Amino acid sequence: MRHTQDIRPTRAGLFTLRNRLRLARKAHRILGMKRDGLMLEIIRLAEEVRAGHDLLMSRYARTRNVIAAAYMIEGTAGMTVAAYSVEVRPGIETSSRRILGVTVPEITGRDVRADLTGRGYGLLGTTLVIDDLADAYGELLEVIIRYAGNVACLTTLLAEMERVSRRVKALEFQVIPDLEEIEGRISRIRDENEREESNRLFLVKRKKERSEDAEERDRRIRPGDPDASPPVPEEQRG
Amino acid sequence: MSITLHPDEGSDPGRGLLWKAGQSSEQDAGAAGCRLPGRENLHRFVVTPTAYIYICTRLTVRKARLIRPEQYMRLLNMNLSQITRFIGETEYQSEVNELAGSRSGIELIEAALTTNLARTYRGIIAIAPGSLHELTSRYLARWDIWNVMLVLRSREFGIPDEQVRGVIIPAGGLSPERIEALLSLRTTCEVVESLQGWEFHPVLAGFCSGGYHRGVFARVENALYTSYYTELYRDARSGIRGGDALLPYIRVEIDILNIRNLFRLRAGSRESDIREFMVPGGTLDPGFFQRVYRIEEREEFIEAMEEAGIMPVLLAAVRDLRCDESICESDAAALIWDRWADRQTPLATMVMAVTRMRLHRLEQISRRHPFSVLAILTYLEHKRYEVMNLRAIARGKEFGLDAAEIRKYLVI
Repeated sequence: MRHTQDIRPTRAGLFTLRNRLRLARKAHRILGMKRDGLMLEIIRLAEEVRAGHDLLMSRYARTRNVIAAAYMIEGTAGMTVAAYSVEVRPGIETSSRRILGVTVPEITGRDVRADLTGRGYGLLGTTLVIDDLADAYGELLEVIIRYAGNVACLTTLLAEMERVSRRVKALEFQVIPDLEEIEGRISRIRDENEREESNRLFLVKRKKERSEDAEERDRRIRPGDPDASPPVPEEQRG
Repeated sequence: MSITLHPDEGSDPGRGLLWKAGQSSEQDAGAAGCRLPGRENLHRFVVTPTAYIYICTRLTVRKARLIRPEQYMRLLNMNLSQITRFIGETEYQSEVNELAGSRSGIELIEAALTTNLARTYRGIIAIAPGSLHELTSRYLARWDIWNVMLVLRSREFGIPDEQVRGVIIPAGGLSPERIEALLSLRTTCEVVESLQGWEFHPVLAGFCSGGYHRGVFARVENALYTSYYTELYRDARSGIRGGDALLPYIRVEIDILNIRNLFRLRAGSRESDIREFMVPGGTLDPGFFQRVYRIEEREEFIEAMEEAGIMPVLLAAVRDLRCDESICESDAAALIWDRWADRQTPLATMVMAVTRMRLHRLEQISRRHPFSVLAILTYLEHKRYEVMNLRAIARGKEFGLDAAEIRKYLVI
């Protein structure tokens, strides 16, 4: 795994690992906060989307009723002629905004609703059921656009939250435990090395002391032996 | 002056009363000059009172043969195929048979009804004599405006001819051939030029010079309809035979139109001056509507409605709508005020109730003048609403509405 690569059980490796661990914990805390923020925003937006959906359904039902009445009163011909009279087509404009660092789409309507005198059809040649229908569709279109914008925003936020949540969980359950485990292992390895070194030095020291003790004992056992006499210092020899 | 029976009319005993006058009739036709195709021959007839009695009686009989209320009640319990079969067994038979190959279901019903309506109207224009012909043509000119505006819009917005043909209703003075000729033209200016001689051509005269800009079609359409009502009113007042009988009905129609548009403008517009949308000629002048348009106080509004004499009409409409005779004037006023204050249009069903009253009023007036143009108009309107009723039932069934709901949209 990447976060555990290039780490050797050395002091420098331990420092690197501790830096990574500190960074991972910080990222976990920040991403956790971001996830909570996103969650709050999603809860707020979900309420709005649900309300928008209910409104959309009610307006759609109303529009169905009005269009039924319009077809009954005006017939296909009247409806078609009114539709042909429309001079301005409604449109949408898309832009983006940022919520908690996430870029979300924003959809706004253009020329969705028009004044009675600006719709294109003549007032004297049509009946008010056409007005009701145009109003109903205008209102329905407004809700559709707002709903679409909110749903797009919610979808983006959900995707982002899923991503952040996955990262938080990865940090929480994978990266940080791995790094902690490696840190522990490196510590143990380093302790073991230290103990080995101490032990080695101790053994060397003991061996050296033993050899010195043995030499001393030998000198004491053979005092007449010229060979056993203590060595003459160099300066006295000259 | 030699008098001969018109060869086309000879087979009809009623039409035998329409005589062709040689020399003088041609002068009349020449004087007509810019009259619509199909009208010229009719001016050649010397119209006798018997001709009036004949046509009015004939249409009264035809009116009696229209679908009766109890038959509508039966239709409300039928499904679409049963309705198609029903109308295929009445006077819509030929249209149903003719269109059955290319359409089905609701489309077949609607197309058959519309085609029959157009044929019936053209047939009546063709058989109406003298001043009845003039007034009937003038009354049905609204369909010409419908067709001309449709053609103009189709040229400007590039709507395919096939789609336009599907909604053309040649029920006015412009013949189907002439409308087809208009459809063969490419630009709006060519259409306007080719309409030289049409009674409303002067309204269109400035259309080409200004070019297209947003809202121009709505303005032209409003101007055409205003001109239509103004000329209808002027003709009725000009001393033309039968015009005085038509006048009260035109006033009622203009008043209802203005009141309806007043509510529409209040609900959907921010215009400061609505007088240009009001048609002159009714019992209430446009200035009155302008004053009412600005009212924000309930008492003032109800007072204005009472002053205009609208309250009894609205009360009857609300009673009809709710099927409750115990509703008093203050209840109706409260209902109307609530919609006015909320800037909402009146309910479509209430408008239907007003339409029923208008038709009832037309029938009342026509009974007082049995051999006038009103007898013809009564038949035309009843025929129009028969078509509308059948369409409403068929459409209502298609949308899955129950019979009680559909019943609200019937004019019976």
